[in-house]
Amino acid sequence: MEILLMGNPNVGKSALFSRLSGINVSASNYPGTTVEIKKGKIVFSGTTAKLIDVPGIYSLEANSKAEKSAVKMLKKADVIINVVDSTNLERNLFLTMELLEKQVPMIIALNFWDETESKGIKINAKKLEHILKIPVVPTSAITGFGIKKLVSKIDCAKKEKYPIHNNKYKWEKIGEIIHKTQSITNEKKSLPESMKNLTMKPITGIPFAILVLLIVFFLIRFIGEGLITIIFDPLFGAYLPIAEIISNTLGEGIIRDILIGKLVGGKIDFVQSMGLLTTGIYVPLAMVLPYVFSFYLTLGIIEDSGYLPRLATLLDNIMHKVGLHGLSIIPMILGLGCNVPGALATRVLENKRQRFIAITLMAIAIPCMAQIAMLIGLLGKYGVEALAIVFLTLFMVWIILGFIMNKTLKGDSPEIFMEIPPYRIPYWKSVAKKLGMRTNLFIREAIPFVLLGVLLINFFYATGIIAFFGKIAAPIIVNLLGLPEEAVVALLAGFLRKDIAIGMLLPLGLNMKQLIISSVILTMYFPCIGTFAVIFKELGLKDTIKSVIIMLSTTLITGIILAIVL
Amino acid sequence: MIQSLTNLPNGKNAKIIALKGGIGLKKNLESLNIRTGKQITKITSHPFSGPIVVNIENRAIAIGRRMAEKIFVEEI
Repeated sequence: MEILLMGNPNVGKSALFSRLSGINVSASNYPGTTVEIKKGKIVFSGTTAKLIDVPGIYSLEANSKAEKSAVKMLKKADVIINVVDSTNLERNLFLTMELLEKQVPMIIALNFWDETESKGIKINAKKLEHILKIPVVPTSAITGFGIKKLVSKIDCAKKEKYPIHNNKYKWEKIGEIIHKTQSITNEKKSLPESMKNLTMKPITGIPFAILVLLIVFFLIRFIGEGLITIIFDPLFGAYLPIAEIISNTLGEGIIRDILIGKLVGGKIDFVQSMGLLTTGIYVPLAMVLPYVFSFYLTLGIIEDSGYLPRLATLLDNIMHKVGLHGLSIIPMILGLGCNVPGALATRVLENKRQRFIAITLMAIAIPCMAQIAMLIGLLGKYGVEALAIVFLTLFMVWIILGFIMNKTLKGDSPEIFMEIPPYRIPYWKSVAKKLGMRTNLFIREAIPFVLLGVLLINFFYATGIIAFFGKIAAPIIVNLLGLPEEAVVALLAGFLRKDIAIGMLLPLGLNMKQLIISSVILTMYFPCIGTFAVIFKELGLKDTIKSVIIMLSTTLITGIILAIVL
Repeated sequence: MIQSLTNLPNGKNAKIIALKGGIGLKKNLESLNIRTGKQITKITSHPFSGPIVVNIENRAIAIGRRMAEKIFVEEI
């Protein structure tokens, strides 16, 4: 049996889903969180059924890929739980009317019930139930109000004979229903409500956005650095003598080379040694994880506050210049955490052209948090300047390449058309749950790949493959980019994990200019394997090849320009 | 005076008189409750052909410029 949760975007569907199914799911306060369809199990009156969280849609006339998948899923549904935002009943009822016509047994959850009182909205749920002839249950996914009752009503889900009507009739009918069931008393504007307008107007909104981004940047840095200094450095400081003992016990030989790696000046160097028990755990845990954690913590709070749709509106005109629209800022920001979810989130965009541009730009010019953390670690000693050059270059590439793609690629990009949800104070449980889920995913995905990377690099060195590729790539790497031949090892490692690849630049003894060029190239030339798999899945063979050609040529041009200019 | 939403001054209230566009556009707008006869407030319009933000039934909605041009309103 399949039960679908359906409703408009931003009606608390994902939060309701985690309440009903108990499994971890992601819920955010911006349209289109559910880009990957989430499935869970729900137990009611002794039976277990499949519960599916369907992407939020405004109507059954699908525009984006996410919406199309929602309509498709309707065909197999046994029961629909239609989640309705009770603070915005009229608009939400349109989808309800469309769903009723589909003749699938249905119940309605009047979500955000707890917010109606402060907004002066009174809804007669009994009367609504009577008019629609299907069960209606007031709920609040955040407090848990009404959830039990909702579950108990699944058995009572009913389909009614609704003849198919045109939209005009539907809206008239909705007008009648609203008139009979809803009364609005004193609509008092709360403080966040008036603040909302200020952050949406360009004059006040742009300075506010800059302020927010600066705070976010410093917060991520502060928390990340803090975790490293307070927790991870002491931890690995205590671990070092243990590693030394292991190293000494093993003595020279292949096993030590693999587990501990090369000794630098007779000692273990956690970044440079390249052993499974040294670099293999130090890089992902002590250098990258703290930043991943602080990034996702900050992002989670920003997401659930409802600020991102405002940022999307403010940046819409710039995004149009690169063939996208404001909403694409959300996949880009997610890409800063990890390109994999970022690329998946491009599904909220309406057409193929937009997704191609967004994915290609992300793969080339958006470094993930793992990479950024390593860049901070590596370039930090040269001060802010070196880091600034790297990020400025990437930003310029993003803008210029986007502009060129917008001018040369066939087709047109649709415009932004999006609800800006009200500000909500982030619900800590939801933020913590999401942070736990994302961090967990990083640990599960990253550590095996880092270990595999370390292993392969040792293998490449031992078999002379590195030297072989070094010779082949030498004309480009040495002559055009001014890097040593061995830099090719980092590029090879970059296919697996970018963080470990950047760490491999350290033993090469590069100067600042070479470090900057190699950092930029490593970010741009090719996505890591995880991202590449998603790109292939999302774009298909032809467009992936096109995208890769753009990546390689842009990287070469940018590298040469940097080698000349710096 | 009936005018396009893009020409309506910021902060003004207006009533939607007509949606002049294809069926697709109309359905799109209607699904977010932007319909003939509805009252809206224009909150702001972003420079460089950026979107227009309106308030309808206490919900803010960002509408692309070309789309907004097709919404005709009468100031009230």
